[in-house]
Amino acid sequence: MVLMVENVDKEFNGECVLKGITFSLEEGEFACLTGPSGGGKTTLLRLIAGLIAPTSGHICLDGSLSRAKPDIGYVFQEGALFPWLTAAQNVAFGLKLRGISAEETRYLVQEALDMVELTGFDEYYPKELSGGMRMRVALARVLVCKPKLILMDEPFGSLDFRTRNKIQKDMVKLWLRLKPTILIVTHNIDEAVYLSNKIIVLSSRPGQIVEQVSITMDQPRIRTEKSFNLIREHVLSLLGE
Amino acid sequence: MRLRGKRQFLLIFILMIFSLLSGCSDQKQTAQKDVIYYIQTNPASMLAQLKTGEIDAFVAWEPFNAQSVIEGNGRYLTQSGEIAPEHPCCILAITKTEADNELALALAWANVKAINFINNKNNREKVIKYAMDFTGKDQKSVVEAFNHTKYVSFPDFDQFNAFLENMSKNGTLVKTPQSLGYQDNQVFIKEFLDNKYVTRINTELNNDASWVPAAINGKLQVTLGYINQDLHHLPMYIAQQEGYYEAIGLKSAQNLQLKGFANGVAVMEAFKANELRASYLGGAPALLKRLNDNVPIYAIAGVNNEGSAIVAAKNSSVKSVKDLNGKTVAIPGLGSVQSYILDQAARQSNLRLQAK
Amino acid sequence: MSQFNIDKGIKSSENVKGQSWRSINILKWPSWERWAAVLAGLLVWTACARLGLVASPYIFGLKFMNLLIIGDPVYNLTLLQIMGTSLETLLIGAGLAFALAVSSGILLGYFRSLNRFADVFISICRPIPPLAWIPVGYVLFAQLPQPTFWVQIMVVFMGAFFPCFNATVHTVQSTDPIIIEAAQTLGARRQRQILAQVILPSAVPGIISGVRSGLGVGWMCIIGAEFVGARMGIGAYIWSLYQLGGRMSEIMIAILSVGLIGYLMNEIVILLGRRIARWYSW
Repeated sequence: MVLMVENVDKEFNGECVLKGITFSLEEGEFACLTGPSGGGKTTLLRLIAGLIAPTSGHICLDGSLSRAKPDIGYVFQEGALFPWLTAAQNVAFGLKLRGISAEETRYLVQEALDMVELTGFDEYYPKELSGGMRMRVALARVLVCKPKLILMDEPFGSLDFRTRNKIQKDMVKLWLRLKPTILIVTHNIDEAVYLSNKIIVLSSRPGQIVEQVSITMDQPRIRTEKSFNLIREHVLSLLGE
Repeated sequence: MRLRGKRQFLLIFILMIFSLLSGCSDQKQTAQKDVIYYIQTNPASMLAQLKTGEIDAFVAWEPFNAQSVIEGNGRYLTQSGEIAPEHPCCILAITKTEADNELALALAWANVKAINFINNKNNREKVIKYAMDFTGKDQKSVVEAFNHTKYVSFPDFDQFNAFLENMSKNGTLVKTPQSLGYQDNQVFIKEFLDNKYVTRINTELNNDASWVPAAINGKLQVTLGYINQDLHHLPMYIAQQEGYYEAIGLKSAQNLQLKGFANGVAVMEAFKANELRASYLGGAPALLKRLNDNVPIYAIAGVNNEGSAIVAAKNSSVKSVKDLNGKTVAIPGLGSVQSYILDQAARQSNLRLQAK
Repeated sequence: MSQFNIDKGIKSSENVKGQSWRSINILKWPSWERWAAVLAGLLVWTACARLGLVASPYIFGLKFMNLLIIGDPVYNLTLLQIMGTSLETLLIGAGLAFALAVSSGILLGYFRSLNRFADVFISICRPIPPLAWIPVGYVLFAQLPQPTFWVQIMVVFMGAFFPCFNATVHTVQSTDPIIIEAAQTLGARRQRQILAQVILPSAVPGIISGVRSGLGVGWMCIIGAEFVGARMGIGAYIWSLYQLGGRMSEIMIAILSVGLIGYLMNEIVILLGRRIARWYSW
């Protein structure tokens, strides 16, 4: 078990945002966290990443309880790239902090950029890249550190329809190839069903887990299939829409 | 990318033109490197700076020159009379308005009386006492200073004409008498140096040594300016002490206000601002502002000729004006008689002045 | 296979690179409005000259070239040489100010409690016009060999310090918290790492624009400071011209040159900024 969340509560200024959250992720699992907006999805992600501490309960990564979790990769909304670094330098950021040699860094960065199909964009600054490309760099920046768990916070929310479909497809390809453990926050049910093995549905405030929906369909999926739509209908009904 | 290179080139080109323009003048300077550097400061600071070696020489009015020599820090390099013999120095100037004829005559009379008093050998001791009181310097300095100052009741026309011509040449005067509507320099100087009062006073005094002009209207408020601690302006102090002003109906603190200034330029500012009716000041700044700024003032009497000097540091290697090449000399201000003297001295030695 | 939108990316980057040059005013071919403004200005000027109010543009230009190439007879120096002294003072004073403003600005921007502590002093000192320090300076530096020089340095320092300091504090404080978190999740756990690898590089454009406004204010101050007791420099020159009288055109030329130099300095700093922080959308 890579991640174990046990009975986690979180309050902000006395107001309960998350209540009794308990779930776990197996290695190689691709999970989606969804729910109404303001339901504490991002808060849960930040709790797991150790950016904030829970009011009560435990979060256990790979058997360790410590708050500093260097083995977690976090992909922020819109990427949160360092604007003063080129794509390659952005990807190398985590490696440099880990004290990896320049030569090895160069090799790993190249590999990561190839993986997200950004070969040749090493020297571009974030402002010179499109939104989709920035997300790819952010993903590469996380992948290159080989984390045990990748967290993604509405990564494709700001992209246009075509780019989003394309990047979702690439994401699945990447997952099939590397089999990392991923937890992704999205408010887009279609995206959740398309990508993940498991959808964790949160209720509105205070956020509680309504249901964990397992999806066993083969990847890559076809959106027009009947089973696809059945799952979609189910999740939507859980959200009361 | 090609566009970018072009623009970069353009920028470098502009910078090159700029440096070329300044470079041209640099070359010119090395070609004629013979310059005396000047700085502007007040006479009191000059003495201190000469002592510390910050400047190599200075040009000031008496009694500062004498003081520096007596105190042992300075040495007379050249008297201003050696550079421009009998050059006019200070004058008594007045703003000309219709009702001022009486005032002009009265002030000129007090001035003539005071100058006669100074030039009378019998008053020697009294004059030295007055000079010490007025300038606040010791007896030795004052006596030395008197050796280099000639009190005259009216400046020389030809000398003033030389003033005008040289100041046009060295670039301080930018306007000409013609631009103010005068036919030529002579006509302008004849009007600027109004000698009719002094001529009449001298005639009257020759007939009757005790002649006093009509007392001026007691209601008239007169502000009379002078320059602080300037031995040249001693006639003002003596006229006051000997009661000449009272004789013409000007009582101190009633209808006469005496006002000290730091230098001639400050006096001219006061004239421009209409704060002065009359003042003692240097002939050079008066002429300068009369022409450059068309300030309506006229000289009604002279005060002194010469009385400035170039003073070098006592132990320096400077033996002549030529040796001042590349050295730093302090002057009281641009447009002063002293700056005129230094400029003339430099030109006579094929040197040029340059600001530092 | 993936048909990633690479063309679009290249195009946008080309745009950015071209733009960084095109938006520099001095290298841009002026728009017709600009030409019209210049033409209209010249027309009004000529009309005023015809009325005898001012010197004609032709005389003015002639005098300008004269001052630039031959120099002023009274100072026996060219305009640029006179300007050079002022620029030198500016660079020394502003250089010192920037060194202190950037370092203290980073500290106070980063340590909020330190900022709250120093805030009282800064809030009182900031509104003081730099020229008001002149008498204080003369008293402070009276014992030094060249008090005027140090007073000028001090005035420029006071003028240049606060704009740069403010900009630095502000830019450090407004570092995007998401970016700091991103660095933290990538393994930058220590404060020192965050400061050196995230806050400092992201503050560079803000600091550069602080330097830009600091230089501008410093340049204004030096001219004012030179009016008081200075021997050399463009401010002292303007004052000397005024004292000599009859030199309105030269005074105007000197004043306009001050403006021109200020403008050029501004452009040069922007140019350098674009070079140093190419990543920033200027």
